[in-house]
Amino acid sequence: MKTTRLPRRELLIAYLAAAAACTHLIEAALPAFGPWFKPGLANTFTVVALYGLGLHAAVAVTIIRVLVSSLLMGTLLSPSFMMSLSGALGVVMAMSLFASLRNRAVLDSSAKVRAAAQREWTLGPIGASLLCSLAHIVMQLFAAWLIVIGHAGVWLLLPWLLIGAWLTGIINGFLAHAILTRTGFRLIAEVGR
Amino acid sequence: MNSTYRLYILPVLVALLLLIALYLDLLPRSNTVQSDTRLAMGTLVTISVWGVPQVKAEQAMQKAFMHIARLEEVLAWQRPSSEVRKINQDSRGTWLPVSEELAKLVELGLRVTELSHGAFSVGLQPLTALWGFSSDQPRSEPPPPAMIAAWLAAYPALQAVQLRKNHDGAYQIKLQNDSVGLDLGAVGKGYAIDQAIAVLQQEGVMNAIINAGGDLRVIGSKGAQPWRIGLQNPREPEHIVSQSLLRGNVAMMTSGDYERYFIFEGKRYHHILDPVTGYPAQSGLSSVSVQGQNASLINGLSTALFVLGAKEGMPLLAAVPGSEALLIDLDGQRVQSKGFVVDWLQQ
Amino acid sequence: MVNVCRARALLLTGCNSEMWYSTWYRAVGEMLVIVNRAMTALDRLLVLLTALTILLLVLWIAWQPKGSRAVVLLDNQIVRHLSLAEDSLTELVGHLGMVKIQVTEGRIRLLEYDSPRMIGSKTGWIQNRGAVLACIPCGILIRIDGAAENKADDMQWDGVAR
Repeated sequence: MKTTRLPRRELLIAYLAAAAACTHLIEAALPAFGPWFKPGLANTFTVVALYGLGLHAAVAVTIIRVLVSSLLMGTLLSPSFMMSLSGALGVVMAMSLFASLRNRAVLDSSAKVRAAAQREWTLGPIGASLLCSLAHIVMQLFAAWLIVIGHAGVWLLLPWLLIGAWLTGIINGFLAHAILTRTGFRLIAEVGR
Repeated sequence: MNSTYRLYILPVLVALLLLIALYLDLLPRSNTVQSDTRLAMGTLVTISVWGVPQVKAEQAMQKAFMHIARLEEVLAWQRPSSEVRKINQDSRGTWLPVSEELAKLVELGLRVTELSHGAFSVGLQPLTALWGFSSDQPRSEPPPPAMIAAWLAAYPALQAVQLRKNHDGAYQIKLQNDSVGLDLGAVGKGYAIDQAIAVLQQEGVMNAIINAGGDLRVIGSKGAQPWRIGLQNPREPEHIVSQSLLRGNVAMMTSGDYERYFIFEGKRYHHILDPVTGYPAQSGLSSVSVQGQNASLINGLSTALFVLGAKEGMPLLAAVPGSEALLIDLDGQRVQSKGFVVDWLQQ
Repeated sequence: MVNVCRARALLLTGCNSEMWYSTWYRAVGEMLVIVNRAMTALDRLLVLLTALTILLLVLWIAWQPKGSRAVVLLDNQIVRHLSLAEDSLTELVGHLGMVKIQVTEGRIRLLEYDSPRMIGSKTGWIQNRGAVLACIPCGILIRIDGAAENKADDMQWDGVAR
């Protein structure tokens, strides 16, 4: 097992980072949501990495996503890059804080194991995604306050942004859950455990 | 109803409450006028915006203010790094390169000079400096008559400022001699307003007012209602004497003898200088308001009308299509052209 | 998930309004059930707690009196926020030296020591939302923000020409 697992893990990180970067680019091209609201679907892949491949992989996916997408959009080191980077840092900080609360048993193929795991006070993909998305928006607003606007009035926007982050956090978490339980990631998660 | 659905009663209630709060917080704001005031061009500039969400309005206003500040850096002869200052410090009697933006504005000023037969000029900076109306410490007595006479003798009237466009499309400017210096004060404010309005429109704001110390331009309306513009009584700034209900694209620029002045030995010396005499214009008017579409043009026009007076001014007004004027003389008597939008209030 | 797909398919194939309602109701319900099944106990707690926190934040923002607050700008940069609810006396150094900014009984005024025309001091007290007070040569602008009452009886102008 060991000889096949190692390269596969690296490959999966690359796949997930690529998928996240693509989603990021597509979202950046969608004008419909306005500058203040993005569905943040790219975070789905971070959560998938967090549960499927572990904390380090999730951090790698997040950072690679930000770097690659800003390289492709030509916004590297611009204020908008700083904004996404600070959002990503918020996600990384949140993940490292709650990583020990994760419970991969909620993704188990056996319904019994799943049911038992769900009764425990541990974090499933939806909760993790929710926390990530809230941390993302808070850090981003903090960065906006520091770098771009420099006006304490931006904090008045926080509740409205949190509503969006709450909704998308849950939706993304559900998507991550679906990916984790309906694809080969379940196997990897089980092996990792 | 099964128990799984019951689990969602609370979240749904929460969501409903959120929606109500959102409605209460956001809806009224895009239906009210949002405004912001800054110091710019030596006066208070207020931008009012209607019909866009608060965040967008703030962003647009911010950009418009930044644009005004940038223009000020190009156009104000008082600013040490401005292009106008550099031209004024350069040599006289030779053709100097000039940026297209500044050239367009000078061209507009020259058009008003031509239409008004020299009652208006963009080359009066040395005379303005002599009278000192725009300095931080204004004079309290007129400069010695000999100095004004000397300036007048040297001033080349219609040939003061000349502009040409080369075959390669670049503009060049020539200031005739030392008695000439660029001072775009009489058109610059209008130009800055026009440009800032363009910035707002680019940002998606279709209903707005930009008011720079009483000179203003409106676009759009407040939904069903027009913008309501009050006009101050020239002699009693506390009193609003009329209202103008403006909608669509209208600029209203006013020149008056009460904006910057001092009184010396019982005589009022104001800041609108007549290039023909070198003294403040004495046309018997105390205020001229002009309405039209282009704020820069009518800004110059209002100054020219003030210098020319009611009698000579009217033909000038007729020469500029789409412009309307209201002239108030020193006794408070009013003359207005047919299309000037104004309702007089009962006092 | 299968049920959701079936409900969607029904929607696409056309149905009357009653069915439309019931299928959407069912689809949303099914989705909520699926999401619920995917959650752990801590997830549910988090979802509820964050929702409540956000709700409280929103209510707090939406209903707090936005307050009569004066903003003081020097060279168009905000340098002070002054609440009009409490009396205060602030000193500030502008381009022409020190000025005083006084707040009393919900009103605010500017006192210059030195300015060519002393317009700021002559303006006197201001108290209405949107009202401004400025000493242009000092580079100081005071503006009242927030939902201050409009106590003056004058008509509200969108702009004043002069």
